[in-house]
Amino acid sequence: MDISNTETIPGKSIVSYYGLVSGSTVRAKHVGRDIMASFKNIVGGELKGYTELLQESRTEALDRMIAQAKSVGANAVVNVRFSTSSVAQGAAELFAYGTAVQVQ
Amino acid sequence: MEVHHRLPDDSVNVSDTHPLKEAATLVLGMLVLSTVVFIGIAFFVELAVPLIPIEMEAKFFGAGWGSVTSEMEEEEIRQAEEVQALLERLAAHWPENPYQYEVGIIPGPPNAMALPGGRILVTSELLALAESENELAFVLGHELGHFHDRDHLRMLGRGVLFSLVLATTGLGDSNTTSLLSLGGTLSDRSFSRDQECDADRFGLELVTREYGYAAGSDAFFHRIQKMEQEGLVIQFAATHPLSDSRIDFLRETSDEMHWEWDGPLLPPIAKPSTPSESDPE
Amino acid sequence: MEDLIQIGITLFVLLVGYFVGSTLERNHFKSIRNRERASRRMMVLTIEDIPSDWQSQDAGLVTGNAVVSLDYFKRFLAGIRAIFGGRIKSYEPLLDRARREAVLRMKQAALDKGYTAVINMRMETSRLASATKKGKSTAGVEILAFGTGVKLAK
Repeated sequence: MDISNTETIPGKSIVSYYGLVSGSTVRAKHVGRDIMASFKNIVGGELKGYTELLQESRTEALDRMIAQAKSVGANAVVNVRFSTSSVAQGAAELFAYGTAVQVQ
Repeated sequence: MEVHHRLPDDSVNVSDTHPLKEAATLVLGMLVLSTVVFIGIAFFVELAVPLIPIEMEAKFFGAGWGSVTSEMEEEEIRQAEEVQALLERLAAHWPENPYQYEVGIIPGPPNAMALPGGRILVTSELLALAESENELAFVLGHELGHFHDRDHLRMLGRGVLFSLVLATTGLGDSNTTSLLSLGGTLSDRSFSRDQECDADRFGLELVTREYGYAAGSDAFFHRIQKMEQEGLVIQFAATHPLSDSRIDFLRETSDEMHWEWDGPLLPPIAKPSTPSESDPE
Repeated sequence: MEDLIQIGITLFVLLVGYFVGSTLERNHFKSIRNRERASRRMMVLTIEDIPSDWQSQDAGLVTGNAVVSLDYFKRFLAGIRAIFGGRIKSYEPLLDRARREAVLRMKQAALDKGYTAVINMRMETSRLASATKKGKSTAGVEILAFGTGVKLAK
């Protein structure tokens, strides 16, 4: 499965379009991480726990999007966009969407 | 270039766990968590309480006592003095007693409370309804038992720390807090039951030493039991073991220690001069 | 006694939230599926331009949005889940519904204007803070789908 955030997959040509596919997941970090983060906020710097959590969730959103693309018979997703939003206190939604296509 | 009009699989973005199963797991986890947190706090308090000097108690936790004493009427001051005299007679049987006691009287259904710094609150109805000195003596002895174990500090410490933990960890969401505090209340109840039993035992010992017998010690519980059946008092059972089991506990303890139970009941003290006023009957 | 009444009321609201909420959810998913099937000839793409061998006669912005809120039961679950961490399963169907509804409304807007496809589609998610409780809780979540509607002629 080819994934890109450009108009096409470079070096390949699109033969057919399947339309919109998307994947999303909502995650919360546990209270322990929240407390550690609030201490870390005093000195600043990277919040490792959150970096990992968001990356993990983004991968899952991407996987779900790929599963949708497979279900329509596509072999690539182009022009993929991510959006991260805080849907509730302490919860983040990771969303990925793109256009499912067949490339050659 | 072609276009395919197929609909993608729409189930991938929704987990298929049944919400009720999820709910059961989460609620159970929550109760376990709050119990563990509470027990942790309780152990911390057990370690910390002996380190707090007696003099500090009144200084730090004594706020509000002034409003109790200033609201007492002349007659209540006389009653308080009589109760205090009895209290000191009982406390004399506790040689290591480190406290200076002070008695306050407040309105309300029959009850008594031990406050930090050797302060004891007695309700006016407890005095009005008491049928013998022995009955009152046991209630006071029970409160002395709380001072002996410094239970008032424990209760206060647990309550304050538990709410502090709830507030600082940001678990302040109203739904989850109520669930957490339910777990806390359930654990607190089992702790306070043990404390009440210890205090009962201590009170019984003081009364037996003072009078040579324990008669009348269970009169207060009989009264509460009767009032509970009539629906007059309900909140008492929430923090105290059921009156039935406490009556049995007193009798058993007395038998075990080979203390005398039977003996004449002395006339009640610290009665209000107009008994009909605060008497619910 | 007061505690019991409090717990009773909370339980009642939870049950109402659960039963009404899940019935509404089931019906909404059904309606979404039907409309998706009906409108599947309208292509939605995230690419910025139409493929070179197509021709467009007309183009214009189309949008669709949906604001949704969790039911009491699911909010209760989400609140506890936020303590333990992990996937907040109760939010997933809600956001899925909202997103598909927003796309369907965008498609409808495109259809009304005579377009046959939507290109360069983007989505925005934003949380609406509640006016009460000092903005701490969520009044709802808005999903906005927007893109350029085009009328294709081959």
